[in-house]
Amino acid sequence: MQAINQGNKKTVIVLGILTLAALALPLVGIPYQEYAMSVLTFAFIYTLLGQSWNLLGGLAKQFSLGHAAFFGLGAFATAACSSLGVPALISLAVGGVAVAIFSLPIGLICFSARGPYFTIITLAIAEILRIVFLWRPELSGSEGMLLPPSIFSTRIGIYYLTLVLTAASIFTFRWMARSKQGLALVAIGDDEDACSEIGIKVKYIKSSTLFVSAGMAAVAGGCYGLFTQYLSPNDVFSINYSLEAIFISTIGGIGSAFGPLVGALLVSLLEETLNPLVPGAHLLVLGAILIAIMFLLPKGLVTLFRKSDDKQGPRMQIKIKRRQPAA
Amino acid sequence: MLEVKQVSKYFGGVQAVENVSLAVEEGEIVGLIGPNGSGKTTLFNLITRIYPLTAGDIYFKGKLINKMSPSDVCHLGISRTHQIPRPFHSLSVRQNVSLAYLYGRKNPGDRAEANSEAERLLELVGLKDFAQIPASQLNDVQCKVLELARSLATDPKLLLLDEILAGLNPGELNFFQELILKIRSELKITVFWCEHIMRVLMKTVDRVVCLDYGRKVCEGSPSVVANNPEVIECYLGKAAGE
Repeated sequence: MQAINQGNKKTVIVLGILTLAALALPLVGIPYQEYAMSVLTFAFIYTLLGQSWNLLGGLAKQFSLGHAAFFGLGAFATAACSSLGVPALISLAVGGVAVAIFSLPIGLICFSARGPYFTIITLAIAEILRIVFLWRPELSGSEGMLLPPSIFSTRIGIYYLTLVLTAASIFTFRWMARSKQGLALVAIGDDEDACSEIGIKVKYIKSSTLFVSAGMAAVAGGCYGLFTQYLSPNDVFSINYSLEAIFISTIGGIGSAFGPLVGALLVSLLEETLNPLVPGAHLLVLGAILIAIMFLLPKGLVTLFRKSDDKQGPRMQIKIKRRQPAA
Repeated sequence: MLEVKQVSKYFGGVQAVENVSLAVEEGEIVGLIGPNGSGKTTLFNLITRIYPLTAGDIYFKGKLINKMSPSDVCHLGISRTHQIPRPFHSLSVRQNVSLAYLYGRKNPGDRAEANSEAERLLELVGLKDFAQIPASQLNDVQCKVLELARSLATDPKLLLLDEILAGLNPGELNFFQELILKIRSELKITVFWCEHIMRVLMKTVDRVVCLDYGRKVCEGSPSVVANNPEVIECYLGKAAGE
């Protein structure tokens, strides 16, 4: 399993310092403070989305191309709730739960197929939702939807909200990855038929994981809506979000709890710094850097923080003898 | 214990299994032989419900299992190994076995119990020293043994072995033969065993069923089946001039 190093004291200290720095950022006066906060906020929203994809894609190798569906639905559900006067935080929770429940029939459809067919169905579902939302004015129509201002439409409010949720998503992932179900998910990624032959109800495991994953993506969408205060179907259901989720998880470290965060931070950092450095060609350079990372660190950036012996994944140097026959 | 009644399986126009009936009684070790492509593995895939049946019925302990899911069949007490081993490569050897313990039983214990049971089974099959390494590091023989331990972890009543002896050296053949006998005598598990290594199979089993082109050719004690002219013909062909 691609679990993270356990109980490493150094790691805990470094993480603690980074968390404190992140918590203190809005409180201390540094140059470009507001700018840094908004960059980080979007990185956190992408982390949530990436983590949600990582639960299924990273652990069970179920490569969804449709997580924009849950992102968009979550955004609109949160928007609908808060425009009825429900407090923002409750709207966000309602959106998450509603979308998680909505994912159950979606899972029933998607998980009747495997491999590339699964991927294509998820892609289609996100597109269908985009078109339905554009088409029906009572859902949003092409005009989109406005959200009332709340504490989370301020930079500082949304910053803390997404920071806390990102931490929660990392804990959720670790907890799931180490649970009995996490073990089953990894096994499903290896061989589904062999899983069902040892009594694992494969569809149930996948669907219940999708339930959590969809809820997480919906919360990411809800945060996005609360901050931007305007949603349009062409934006939130766009395949870009699905791709971004895969992208940052893969760059950061697929199947790793910190992968999406590391990936999201790197991609945001590169996007922001490359633009002034190589104006006009920044996406080109970004693409080249990301390809290089995939070649050099196929298991993602998190491998840089691991002990050297498992950089290539778990490859221990143990001589394997052919078992001695019993006399 | 296991009753296969007039079972057929067609893949398009190919009749992989054609109107096969057989029974396995509790406590038996039954061999399943036949040339390559005679439908042995397909029959196993039908029993474990990986493939849907074209026709016929399969009963296990009196229950019709035609429409059950593979995981339900496992919970009912049927477990198998594969001709080409299929361990979970991303998991450690012990995790492979404890996962089967956690999901394959109706009332599994907690993780600690699963781990200790896994250790016990790995010791039984001789993989104890490899418990912590990733399954992807095992060699082919070790993968077979791991699959066997994984199957046993689901607490089966009936174990289907699919060519578990293929590619083994003489010492390993002996080890497996003893292990299979031990599985029956100590773990009280009935064994239905498909195999090409006749020398070992015929010494171990109580009864043999022979398939050819998806049909049952003959059934009986090892000596009867070995001398049956139809069985000889399907393996060696007819003598010239006949």
